[in-house]
Amino acid sequence: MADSAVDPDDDDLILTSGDREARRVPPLVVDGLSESEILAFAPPMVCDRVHWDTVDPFDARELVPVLAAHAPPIEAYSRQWSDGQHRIWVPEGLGHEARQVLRDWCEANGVEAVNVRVVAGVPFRNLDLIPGTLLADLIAAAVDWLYPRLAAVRRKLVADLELVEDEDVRSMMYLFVSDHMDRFDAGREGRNGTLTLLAFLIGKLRNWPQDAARQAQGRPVVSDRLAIAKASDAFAATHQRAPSEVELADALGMSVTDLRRRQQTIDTLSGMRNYQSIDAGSRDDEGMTLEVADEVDVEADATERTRNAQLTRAVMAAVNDPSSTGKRAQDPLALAAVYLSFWEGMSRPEVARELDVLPKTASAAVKRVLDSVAESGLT
Amino acid sequence: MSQYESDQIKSSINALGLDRHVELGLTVSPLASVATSTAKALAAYLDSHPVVPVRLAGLGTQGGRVVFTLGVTMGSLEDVKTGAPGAREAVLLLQSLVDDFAAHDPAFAILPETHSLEARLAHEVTVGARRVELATAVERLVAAV
Repeated sequence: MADSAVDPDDDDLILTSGDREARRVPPLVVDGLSESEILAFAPPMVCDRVHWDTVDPFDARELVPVLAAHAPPIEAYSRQWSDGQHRIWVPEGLGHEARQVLRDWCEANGVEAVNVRVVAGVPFRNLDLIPGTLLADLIAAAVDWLYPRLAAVRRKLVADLELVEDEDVRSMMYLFVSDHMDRFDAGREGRNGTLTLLAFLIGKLRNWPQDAARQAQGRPVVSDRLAIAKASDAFAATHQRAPSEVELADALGMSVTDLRRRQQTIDTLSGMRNYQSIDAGSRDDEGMTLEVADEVDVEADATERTRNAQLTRAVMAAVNDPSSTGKRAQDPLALAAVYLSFWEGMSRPEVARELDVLPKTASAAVKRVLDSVAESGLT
Repeated sequence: MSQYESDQIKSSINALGLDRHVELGLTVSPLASVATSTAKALAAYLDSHPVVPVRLAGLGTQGGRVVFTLGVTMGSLEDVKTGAPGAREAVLLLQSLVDDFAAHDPAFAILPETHSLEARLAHEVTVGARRVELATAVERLVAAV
């Protein structure tokens, strides 16, 4: 297993890009081998990456022999990422050709490939070439080193993604590190010398909470939240107090009404996600709470009731638009889909089965309501 | 099976009342002090809106409040999917319930299990063998809060 990182000595002081004095992030040593020795098994290459989604489960490795059999043959590599997207890497310049082969093959084999993209000139290592458990040990050693030192990233992840708990973060970090290992470009030289694996990962992990939140909640909501937090921090640093609504709106260059609307959207979405977990928990304990009434948390009940009422109002406003006329004014399907998703706790495929519609129809119906709630900022 | 036969079977199922309906739960939770008057107002309100089928699915208490759980039927799956007039009426009724009873935190909720205390009490009030008046049941609940 990990022999831990090499201890830095006093000579390892460096000047960061922000002109702060810091210690050099040490190279890792695992099973008696340094990280550079381990990664030398999988030398860095520059490739074109083709990545895409499929409607049904699919293993992208199936395409490697297909590309090899193509005339002229295309040498391809594939590796699974935890985000479920499919990726193959091909020699630089062959990305678009590989995409066409992929499309043809998918069409011929009845695989529904969506959103097929090519990114040219990306760093890649074929990690399959690293023997034994060296790669897994290296990832574990990196996570062991990073996890205790990136408390701010951990806190932010738990705070930004309401369904993520403290105990989930370590395994999430392992997956994140595992995903990013193939793009570590060890040859890169900076003002402080060669980039170590840990320094590379710290750089990637710094933006991880924002990227994860954007993926989960949508870009505008997260950007609003970041902007509001940044403006509040900047004001507090200058004036040694929290800003009023007017001062915050001024700092952000928007009206107070607009600021309120955006804050309400953030609160409503946050409440909606929290509701799901509270609802699931209360249903599991239903029998018990009825029997031990003395242990009922009155304050939590009141908070939950108020939040449910606000959420109900927001959902009703989304499915009933009095300004429209005819069929478009009310959206019973969206209401039923949202009710089954959030109150009955059904997954999207279950909702689709229950309502006898296609999964994409159920998802679109739920999305209509969530988008409307986010846009209107109703509470 | 031809389309005609399929439609015939569907209409037979509909005629027997066996097609699947979508029912949503909505709780109205007045404070114990105003629960009896709210019960009367709620009953009067629903009597004046007979188009949409609504049933009292649960009656219980929670944290100093009396909780009425209403089961609002939106219509058959087909009605909901196609946005039939009945389903849209149900949305309008829910909207007006949410607006008119806003002081009592109307909120969507899962419908109580058939054998739960809340469902059994609601059953006694509506169709039970020892049927009691809603107001009487609420007064008893209030006394127990």
